[in-house]
Amino acid sequence: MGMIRNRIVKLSGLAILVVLLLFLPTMLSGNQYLVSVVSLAAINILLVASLRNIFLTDQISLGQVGFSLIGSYGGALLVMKAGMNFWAALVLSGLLSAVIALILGYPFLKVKGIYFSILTLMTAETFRLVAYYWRELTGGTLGLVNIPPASPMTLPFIGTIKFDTVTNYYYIVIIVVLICLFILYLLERSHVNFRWRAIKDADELALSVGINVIWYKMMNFAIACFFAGISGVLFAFFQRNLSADGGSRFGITMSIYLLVYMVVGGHKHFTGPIIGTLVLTIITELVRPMQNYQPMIIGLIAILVMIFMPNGLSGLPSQIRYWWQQRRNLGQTRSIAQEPDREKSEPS
Amino acid sequence: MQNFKEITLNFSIDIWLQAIANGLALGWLYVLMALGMMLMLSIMGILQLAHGEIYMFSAYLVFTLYSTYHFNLYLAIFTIMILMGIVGLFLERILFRPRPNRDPVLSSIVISVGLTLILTSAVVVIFGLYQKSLPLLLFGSFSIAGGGVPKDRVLAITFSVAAIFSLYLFLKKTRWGQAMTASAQNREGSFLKGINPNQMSMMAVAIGCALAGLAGGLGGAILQIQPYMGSLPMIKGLVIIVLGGLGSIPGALAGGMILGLIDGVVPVIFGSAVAAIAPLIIVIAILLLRPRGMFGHD
Amino acid sequence: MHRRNIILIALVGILLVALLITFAAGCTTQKTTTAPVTTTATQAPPKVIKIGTIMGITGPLSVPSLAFNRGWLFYADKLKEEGGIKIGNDRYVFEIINEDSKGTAEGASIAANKLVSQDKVKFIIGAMLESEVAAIYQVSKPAGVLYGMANVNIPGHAVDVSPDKPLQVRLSIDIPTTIPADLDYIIKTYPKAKTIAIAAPDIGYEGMIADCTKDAQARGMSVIFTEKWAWGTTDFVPTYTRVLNSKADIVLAMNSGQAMDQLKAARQLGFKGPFISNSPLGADVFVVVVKDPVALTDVLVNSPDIDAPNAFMKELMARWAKKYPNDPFVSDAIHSYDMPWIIAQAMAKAQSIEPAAVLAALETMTTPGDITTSLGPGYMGGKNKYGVNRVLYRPLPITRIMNGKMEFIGFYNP
Repeated sequence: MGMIRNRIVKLSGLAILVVLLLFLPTMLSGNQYLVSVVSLAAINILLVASLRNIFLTDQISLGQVGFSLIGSYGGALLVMKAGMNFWAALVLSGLLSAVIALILGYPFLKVKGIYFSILTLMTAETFRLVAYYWRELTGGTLGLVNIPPASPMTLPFIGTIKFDTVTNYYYIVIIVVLICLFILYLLERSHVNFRWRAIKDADELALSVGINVIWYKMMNFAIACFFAGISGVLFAFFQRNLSADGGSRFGITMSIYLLVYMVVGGHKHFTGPIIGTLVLTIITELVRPMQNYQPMIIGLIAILVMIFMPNGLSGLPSQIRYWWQQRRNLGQTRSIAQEPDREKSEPS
Repeated sequence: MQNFKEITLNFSIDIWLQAIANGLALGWLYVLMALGMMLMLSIMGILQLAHGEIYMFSAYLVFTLYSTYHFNLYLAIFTIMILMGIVGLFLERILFRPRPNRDPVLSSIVISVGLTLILTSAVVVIFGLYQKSLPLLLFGSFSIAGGGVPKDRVLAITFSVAAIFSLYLFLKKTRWGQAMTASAQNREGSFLKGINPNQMSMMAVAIGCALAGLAGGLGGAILQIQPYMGSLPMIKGLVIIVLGGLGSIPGALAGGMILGLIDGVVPVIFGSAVAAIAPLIIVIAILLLRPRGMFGHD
Repeated sequence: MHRRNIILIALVGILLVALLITFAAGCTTQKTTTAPVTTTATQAPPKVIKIGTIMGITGPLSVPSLAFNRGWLFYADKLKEEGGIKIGNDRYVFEIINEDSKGTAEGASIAANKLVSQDKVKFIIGAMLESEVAAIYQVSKPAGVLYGMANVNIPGHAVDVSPDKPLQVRLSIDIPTTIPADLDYIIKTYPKAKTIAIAAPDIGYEGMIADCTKDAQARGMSVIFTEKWAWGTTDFVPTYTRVLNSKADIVLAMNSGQAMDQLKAARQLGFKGPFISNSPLGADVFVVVVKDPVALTDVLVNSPDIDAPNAFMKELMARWAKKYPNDPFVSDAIHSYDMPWIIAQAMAKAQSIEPAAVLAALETMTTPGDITTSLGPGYMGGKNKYGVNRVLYRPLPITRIMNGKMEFIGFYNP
């Protein structure tokens, strides 16, 4: 009985959140600045969620920006050069990222630990440099400009909606990101995640009980990169121009920030990337008066979180619960079993 | 991309020599970075992504000593080298000491990344956004077969070689050095032998930062000083480690020479696009096909 | 364990408090309208026009942004001291709001959105990169805000001024106009030098290179080699190995903020001929960075000589010295100082503060002298090349550096 009530509470909380998000532009009375910040945050949340998805199999990918790049340029070029509809280009670019991830995944995922991270970092840089220098395809160093807005939609009762404004496009971003996050959430509660968790905890053991480790890792990698590609397409039609230079969002700096977002939010819970990205985006915007200090503040937060709160902000409730129990157990034997679970990651 | 034949025939031998010499000169500088990163990677299992920022910070500090306090340039570089070594000790103690509740790979990446952000920002806040530069170590250039090889690069090579040689002697001949070598090759085994891993880590970080400090001082004099000068040497260091293999100084040297050759010759022949992408492809290929690198262990 | 909990809770608490403080500070700084204003006793206090600026304060191109930001603020100070622009019965002063683009297009987008939606500016100046320009204009145009470009790397690029872009104007000079000026001086001073090698960043300078080739041919010289180096290069020795292999008499480092590093490389590799840098990069920066008097010889730079300042420059340098006594003057501030000044002059002529009217006024100021700039009489031009008169033309300073000393040669009027 209590479990069902719990569920109803959670679901209605979620429903309220979704409604809030959909009405955000109206609530902000068309303040484009805030709407654009939220849009970009949502696009980044999806990217960080893809990073965390790969971390479910205990691999740290520093190359998600590369797959986001494939999505961005792929989506933009499909619409601009092949005349495709935005929605078709969205899905197709995501699939393109996933396919490339599958192809690269087979050799890559055999590499473990820090070497995998180096590998993904170099791969993303290679993608970026190729896009940066291939002038015929991507505009090269000049960048890709004048990307048309997402194709207008005609809905019954509402008429045709054009997506050339920040506010209108916000709705596409929010709805697509929510759907993607929902899919990722379902995946994390599915039996597939049991396999992923097994691989994360002890992959040789998993192999010995018959789990096809490399296949599940590849599937994980492909799924994550699919969503990274989607995030890229959303970005391309948000920004409407793309540039692949070293300081852009397809460079190493962004890979770093994505990792920080995930860690500050907490890598154990599904809501980690969401919380981390939101909190750090808000902080970044708040420190605009002191721009010079902004990277320092983010860096400091990252280090402090890593040292004192390794489970991040989303791990805070369980951490607090643990300390509360510790206080109650003072004087009694401290049981190791009561410590929050370090090894397993819990969905939501 | 220009026609390969047309280019090679157009270049006389002195151009080739010049390209090779200049590439190698920078290569030695990057070897200093690679050695530091390699020590930390093999002894502590940590990828120090902030090593480039240590390099950059050293360049700025050398600039400060030189311009504000009027140190002799060489003395400034030497002082900063020692100073960064000491800083390294603190960094290890505070940041890189492994803790029980933490995933070592994730935490090392995040902490080094956080350090990168802090240092890049700190340098702008502390030193301001002015164009800064150090004087050339030496003016003029040697004439080698008609082409010019800048003298200061040759001098930088000399310093790097001296430092690397000292490191080599230290690792091979002293007890501490041998302990570090053992620790690099097999962490658990050396622990069984009574070698204190924390001490090894501290020394690794200290030596690594000192080498980066030297590289920064030299690099600042040869190239420019600006807040983002550190990311390229760090990537080059990474490439050299992968090429040469972990735990092997000769490997790092060989890797440095090869990278230097590539860096010197490829941009001259093929232009910068290929020059930028080629090292990355090589690293990817090595990590996939021969992760040990050329001379590496495990 | 117990102590750690306390530390953790304290840290989180401090973080929250810090957040609250920054939020409060951020809110209040955005809401303040004017700094103390000097007004004549009989007049009402001047009204404020907000001008937003966007530069990459953090990010790879942060070094120029410092001088640019200061130049903008200095003009706002000067305008206040003068009592403002008189339009009708009102006087108007400027309030400059500096924002950071982080050197990325999306950073520029967000900064522009903030300036337009939150601060409600009517004018935006800024950006160093073409991608930033595109991002800013995308936001400024629908909002009816006039956008003045602070820099152009690739004149004629799709994002540059054009007839189909109302509300975009260029407040930095047309770089190609420097080439005829420099070449004429070379002919006079180095009559034997006939062949030119160009080193240009590979970001789309083909048009400028073609123009340069034509200009050279018209003067009996020729461009015999062009080298396009990758944007982001820090080591110019390989580049200049190729450039000097051509054995040209003259080297032109085309419109690059890194010309001084290129000079270093060229001289180190043994190049002894005249070296031209046609970007606004200051000669003072060359002297400070390169330091070697032997290298700093026969260098031609299209920047003012801050050792031989005219009246406007003197005043600006005095302001700088007063406010930042420990920082040496950077000539970039001169260029940025002029930008809001030009807008102010256009407002005075249009007798309106509406962006469209201001732009229309600018487009009528096409006679040399219609616009006053720190470096002499200027005007808006560009109809032939760009289809609209929306590019700034002003006298081009030529400074020669010999043996480490700057010599101001003069102005060339385009």
